[in-house]
Amino acid sequence: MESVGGVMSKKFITSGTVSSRDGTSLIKIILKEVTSNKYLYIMALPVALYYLLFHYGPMYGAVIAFKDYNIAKGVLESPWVGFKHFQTFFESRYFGRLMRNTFFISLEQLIWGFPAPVLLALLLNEVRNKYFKRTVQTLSYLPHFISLVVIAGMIHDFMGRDGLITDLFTLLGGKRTNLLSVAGYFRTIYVSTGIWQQIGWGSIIYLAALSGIDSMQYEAAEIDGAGRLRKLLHITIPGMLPTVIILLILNIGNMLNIGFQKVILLYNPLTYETADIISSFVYRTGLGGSFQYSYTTAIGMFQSTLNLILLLSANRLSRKVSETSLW
Amino acid sequence: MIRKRSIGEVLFDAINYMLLAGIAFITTYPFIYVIFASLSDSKLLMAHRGVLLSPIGFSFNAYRMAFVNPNILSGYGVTIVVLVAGVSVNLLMTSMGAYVLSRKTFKLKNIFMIMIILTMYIQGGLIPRYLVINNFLGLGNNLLSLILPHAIMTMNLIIMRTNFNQIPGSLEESARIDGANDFIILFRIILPVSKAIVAVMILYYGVHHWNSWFDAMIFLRDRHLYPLQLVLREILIVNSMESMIESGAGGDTEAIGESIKYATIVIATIPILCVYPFIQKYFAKGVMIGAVKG
Amino acid sequence: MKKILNYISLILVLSLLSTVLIGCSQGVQTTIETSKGTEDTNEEVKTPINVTYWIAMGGSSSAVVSSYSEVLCFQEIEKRTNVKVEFKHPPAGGTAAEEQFNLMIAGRDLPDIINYNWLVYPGGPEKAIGDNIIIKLNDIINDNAPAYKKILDDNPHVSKQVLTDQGSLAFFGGLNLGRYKGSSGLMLRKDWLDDLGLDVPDTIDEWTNVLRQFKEKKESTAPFTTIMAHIGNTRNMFNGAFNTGYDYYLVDGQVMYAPIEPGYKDYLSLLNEWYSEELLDPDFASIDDKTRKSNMLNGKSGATYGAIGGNMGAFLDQATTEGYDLVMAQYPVLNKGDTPRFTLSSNELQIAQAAITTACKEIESVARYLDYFYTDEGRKLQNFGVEGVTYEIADGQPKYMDLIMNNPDGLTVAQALSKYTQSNYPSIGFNNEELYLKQYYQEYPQQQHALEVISKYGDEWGKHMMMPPVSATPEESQELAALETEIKTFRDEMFLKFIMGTEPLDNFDQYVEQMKKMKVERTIELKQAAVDRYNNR
Repeated sequence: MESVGGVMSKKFITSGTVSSRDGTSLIKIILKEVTSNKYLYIMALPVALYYLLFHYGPMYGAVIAFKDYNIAKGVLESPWVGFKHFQTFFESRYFGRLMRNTFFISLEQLIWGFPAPVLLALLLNEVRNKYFKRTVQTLSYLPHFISLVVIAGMIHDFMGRDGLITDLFTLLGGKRTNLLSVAGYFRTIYVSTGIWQQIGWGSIIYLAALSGIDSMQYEAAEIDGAGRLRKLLHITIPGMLPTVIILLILNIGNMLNIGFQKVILLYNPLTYETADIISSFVYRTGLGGSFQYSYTTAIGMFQSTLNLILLLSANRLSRKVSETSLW
Repeated sequence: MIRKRSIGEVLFDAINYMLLAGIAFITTYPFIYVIFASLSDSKLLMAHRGVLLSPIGFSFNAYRMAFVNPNILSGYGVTIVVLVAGVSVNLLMTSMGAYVLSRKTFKLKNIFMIMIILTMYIQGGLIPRYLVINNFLGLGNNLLSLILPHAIMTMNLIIMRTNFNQIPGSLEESARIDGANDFIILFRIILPVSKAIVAVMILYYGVHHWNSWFDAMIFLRDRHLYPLQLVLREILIVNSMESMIESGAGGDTEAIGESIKYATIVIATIPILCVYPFIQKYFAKGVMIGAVKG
Repeated sequence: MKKILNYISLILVLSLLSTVLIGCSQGVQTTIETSKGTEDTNEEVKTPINVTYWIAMGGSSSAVVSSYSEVLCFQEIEKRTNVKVEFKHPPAGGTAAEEQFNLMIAGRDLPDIINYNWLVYPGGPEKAIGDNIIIKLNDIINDNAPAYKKILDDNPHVSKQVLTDQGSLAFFGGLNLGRYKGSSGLMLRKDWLDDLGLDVPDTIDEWTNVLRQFKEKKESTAPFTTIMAHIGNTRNMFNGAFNTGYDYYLVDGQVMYAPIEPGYKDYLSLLNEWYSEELLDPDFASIDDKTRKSNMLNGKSGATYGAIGGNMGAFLDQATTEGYDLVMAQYPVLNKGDTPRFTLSSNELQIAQAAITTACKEIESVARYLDYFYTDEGRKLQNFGVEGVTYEIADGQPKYMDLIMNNPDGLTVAQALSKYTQSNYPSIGFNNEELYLKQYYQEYPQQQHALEVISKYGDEWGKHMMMPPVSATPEESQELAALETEIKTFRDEMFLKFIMGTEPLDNFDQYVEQMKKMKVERTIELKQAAVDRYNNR
């Protein structure tokens, strides 16, 4: 039994420790445990019910990855096909490319896109003027609410042959061309526009974490004569570290899940080489009817498995290196 | 006691302000574009490319066309109801879940956590989920189908738990000494001290409810129950019928479609912009003052 | 704080109460009620019956009505057939209809009538019958749908499209029996042509000349503009001049795949030439449709491919340049005087197909209701509305009245039509009536001219060369889907490489070899099998 911080039950008065003395029946142990912490279990009940009903309940549907799902027949009656769908996908000529693109776009997003909101939060934190801080905050999250279609339209506009960004680009010495037609630029465009859209919204959680840091610590440090940098390193960052780490772990565990919408809106056959990812390829396979459900589920399952492995690794690493982890 | 700032700090501040102003400018521009575009004459908008420095051919047409739809008002109404009810359920469930998962005495903590996280990786798919909600629970065409199946978003649960973990155990201890039970501890001690994270949850869940339309699309049959986003989607699609090759004769429909696209975004986003400042103040520092003492 | 707890619970209770109240107040949804008296199949329906009808609303309809029960022509038809219809509509647009349809089937939540494109049901309509979703109509129509039956009997070409490979009749399909089966084509700036003293181009060489002049004399940076979605193997444009199609097509009953035909190489050469001379929009591969349209409006381009309504009408409406004018060109040929063969057409069978489900208990009456749309009165009601209200007879022909053409409430023609008729959206019964189309496109004579031009040579393509509405078996679909995604990805990438010069056209043969390695011939085989089955219907 693990507890955060390793402090054991010495301090707790109401909860009883579970003894595993031989001879005591299991039921008695359980009953004792439940009654001594009954409110905890009462609280846990609806939460458990929710997950059971809405998440574990429908889970049987995942098996269609191994079947040829027919909507009319339903999940149970549809025929089994084993790993056929996985095979189809793995044997695809483009499998390697799709995996590579998905992974690298994800990685770049993680490397640049993850720290960006954290940095924004830290910078905002240093601002003393309340009004400036609030204004910048509010303005920065606006793009989050604009639909992807409109954002993509803007990107096409700005990155077109005579677009604003392209003008800047040529000014800096680049060749004048439609920036969305060059495979090498795709990742950069994808990731940087993502940052542009999400940096403000993403910083909210970190700002909240920062506000939870006891200001007494800052005052104490001030008394000790600490400068801003020292305060940052010894108070601010450790204070928000758990939040950052947890979110990092979760993000890593979501790496292969890039949605197809933005890619579809921005790519074209000229950039397939770097832009075509698993989900956009599957989207193009679309029109297969019942086949489509099974196939998409199978590929989703494949992606999830890889994601889970990434999550487990990240969590284990985090456990070793820091005090924060998912479990 | 105010310490004098060093040159380095002044420089840092200056750069910081400039940088932040720059970021604010870049991130604001898309929205300004949207507002200008929504107030523009569609025909001129169609031909225009690049930056918009002001509305071209000022016109309220897009908004007029959007509000012609009888369902906009009911859309707002439904969304507000769903949001209030939904967020309440969300807060209740998520904080309870985060609480039990952060208690050292909760033996099932890790098992729960693993089982919960697993749900992010194994999914049953749309149809089984639909069958559970519609057939098994009979929530078809009922607004509860928009609330209950989303009672907890796992990501938020984990974030809240992380936050609860950071609250000093001494608070709970003193409360227990005074004879408090878990409910009291959660609602009277933990939550008040976590104003910032609660504010974030309200924001996250609120925006989620505000923007959602997919579940409404598959569960609701009655048009009067359509939430705002679903109504706006319809307006958008109806007014930009590029796919209808056979029909679509006149230029009218298409033209208005361009600026309506932007008007719908404005209609959907303004309410949130109005609410956010109220929530923002909870992100102020110093919420924890005094809580640790005693 | 007790206050917070109370507050939260109060809100919770209130909200849940209100949602429950709202949920309950929707009223009971009418399920099928069996009619009271017994009916003789040969008599008119005496007692009114109620049926549920699931159908996606037309685009312009959802802007003006919230249900088809508010549309005049449906109300009239209800009165005349004594069948009361409760319409169920999915939200408009996007994939809403498809999602709801799938869920309806999966949840076995069937209404009496479902209007859908049954050809996309996995396995086709035959499978839908086999899966026990809809019923076979062959015998039903003999006694209960005389009008529909007659059309099928009189038009074997049509019944071939409507029946399944096994000869089953699964639905009442919308039919376009008129002349106008195309709605898009190549259009150019007429005012530019006039200024330069040029005729509308007919041959490829004439096109090259026109585009050159646009570039030099009109400062057009992208004389011919288009997007991948249009020119990337989805439509006949300039390829026809080189005796090749764009995707799968038929020659004497044999399935051909254009991208590997020798003629295709010549076609790619042309596009490559145009690209290097900057006659073809240099960014055509990466721009979006909005950019293409802007190009046509702001003078960057002088020609494009587009829809008569959606593009031509829209451009003429929105252009702000003085004297802006458009003209639709005929499909180009290689030599002057040749007849274009690779044109545009569509099947008589439309995507609106109403099937009677296995949940229906009043099959004969429902069949008669649906049949009404195929009668003369039904046809008039659906396309023109009610005489004296929406149309009047002038010179023996129905002519729309002001309620439609100059609606007092400010509705556009499309919206007015949607409010009173069912003419401007695919529906069962007769679609795209010539008389309706002529009046619909009345605003601009260029559009009417365009209509004639497009349809002139549509017959050969439509009847002999276009791929017919075949049904693939589920196994075939699977195999095809897997192969086709890869083939298409490769094809599209190479298409661009050849045109833009990154890949020399001399390597065309290697490209064909690679396609064959990717089993393109197998896909042709599969398509051929479906076509053969189709021809034996």
